[in-house]
Amino acid sequence: MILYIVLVLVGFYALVNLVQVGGSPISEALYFVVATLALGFVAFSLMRVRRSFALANPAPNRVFEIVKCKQCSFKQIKNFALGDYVTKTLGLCTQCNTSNLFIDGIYGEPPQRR
Amino acid sequence: MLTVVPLDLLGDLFGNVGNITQIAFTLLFILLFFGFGQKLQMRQYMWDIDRGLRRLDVIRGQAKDLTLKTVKEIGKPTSDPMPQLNVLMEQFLITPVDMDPSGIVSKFDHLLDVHEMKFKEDVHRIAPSADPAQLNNLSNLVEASWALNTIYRIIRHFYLLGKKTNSIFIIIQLQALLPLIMQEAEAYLGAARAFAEGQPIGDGIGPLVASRLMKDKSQRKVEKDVIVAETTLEDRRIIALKAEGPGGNVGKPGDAIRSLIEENGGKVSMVVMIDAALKFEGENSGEVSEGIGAAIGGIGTERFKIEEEATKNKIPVYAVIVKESILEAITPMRKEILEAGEKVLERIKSLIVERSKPGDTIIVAGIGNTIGIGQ
Repeated sequence: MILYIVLVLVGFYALVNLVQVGGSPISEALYFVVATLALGFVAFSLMRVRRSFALANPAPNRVFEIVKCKQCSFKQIKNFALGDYVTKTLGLCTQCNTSNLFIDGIYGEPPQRR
Repeated sequence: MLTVVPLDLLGDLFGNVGNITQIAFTLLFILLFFGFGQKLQMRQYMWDIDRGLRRLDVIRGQAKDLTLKTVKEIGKPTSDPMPQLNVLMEQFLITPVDMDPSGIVSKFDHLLDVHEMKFKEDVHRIAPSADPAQLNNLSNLVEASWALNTIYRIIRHFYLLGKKTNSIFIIIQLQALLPLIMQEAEAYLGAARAFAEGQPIGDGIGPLVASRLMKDKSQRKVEKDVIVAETTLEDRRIIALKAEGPGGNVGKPGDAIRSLIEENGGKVSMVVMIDAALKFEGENSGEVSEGIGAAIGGIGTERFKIEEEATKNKIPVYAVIVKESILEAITPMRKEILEAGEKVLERIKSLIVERSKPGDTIIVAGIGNTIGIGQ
């Protein structure tokens, strides 16, 4: 943490000197290199920390059910409901009214990482 | 090279002062990179491990909170389940002595039975209102939390040991393994979520295929937590088996296959086992492969029983596997794995046609955790 604060201070000092004081092209180049390295290192470290937090809280999967009719071609995909399982019957088919609907499969889609 | 350029610049800029600074910088760099190089590197590795450890702590905390919430919701305990849950989190199993390996499988089997029985009883005590299927799911959930807690404790142990002894070798090994450990920990957190809601996981592809073979057929229970149904496929008699669902359960397929072979007087022409298998990096999830041998994971007791019975009766054992990653195996089943179920059925059909005659009896075993999959 102290290292990052020192680097930010050094980076800003170099940047201010580069913009306001200026000087010979060699000293300007030196200030530029110091500012880029110091601030670049801090930015890179912050990005790594952000990534580590993102990994620590992976979003849950979105889970869907495939509901089919035993008799006709009826097929529906709906959100998973607590207590549902593959092969569970869900009452009469709304399309053919002759057979029961059942859960043919349940699958999850991974969360999209930004 | 990097050090030379700014030092020359200093010399150019400030004359003698620059030269003194140049010497100071050179000495500083020599001191830093040759004297403390390893220390600096070790410090960096330790930062990485420390960060990983914090993440692991967050993950295990999330899993424990989820377990507690689910236990309270489903189990409706009369008292605070936290103290008992903490006891469960620290449970361990002492493996049998292997100096004299003869008979070790039965010893292991016995230990695992006792462990499972005790674990379920303990979970039932903190969740008295849970039905058998929910109890299995809760047991799986507590096991996932236990696994995360154990991972955290082990990593912390080696981290502190490395720090205490100042051993760069312990730290390097830990740092090198950390990405894999983090991946596994995240997989366990995903598994905990799936177990809490009773969703099928990738490992359930074997039971899923078996349940499709068993659909609308008369079913019976054999051995511990294993359901069997008979059907016909390409004029062959198929005995399909899977762990009893939809609660999280793997059953004892080794015992079930043994008893089915004995029931049929050894007249079984082949055993086909379907299971999820870990893919190599670069391979596609949901790819189906076939091979020879008992496709079953775990400590090895069930595989031993199947191999022993198959060898005794000269029955060929074939394996059909669905490739997936560790993350996919214990988190909600991905679409490509679900779709692989149809391919597996086609493979079984062609295997049966090629390797048996009409009228033969064939055992098809769906191996894996049957959470969220009925029969």
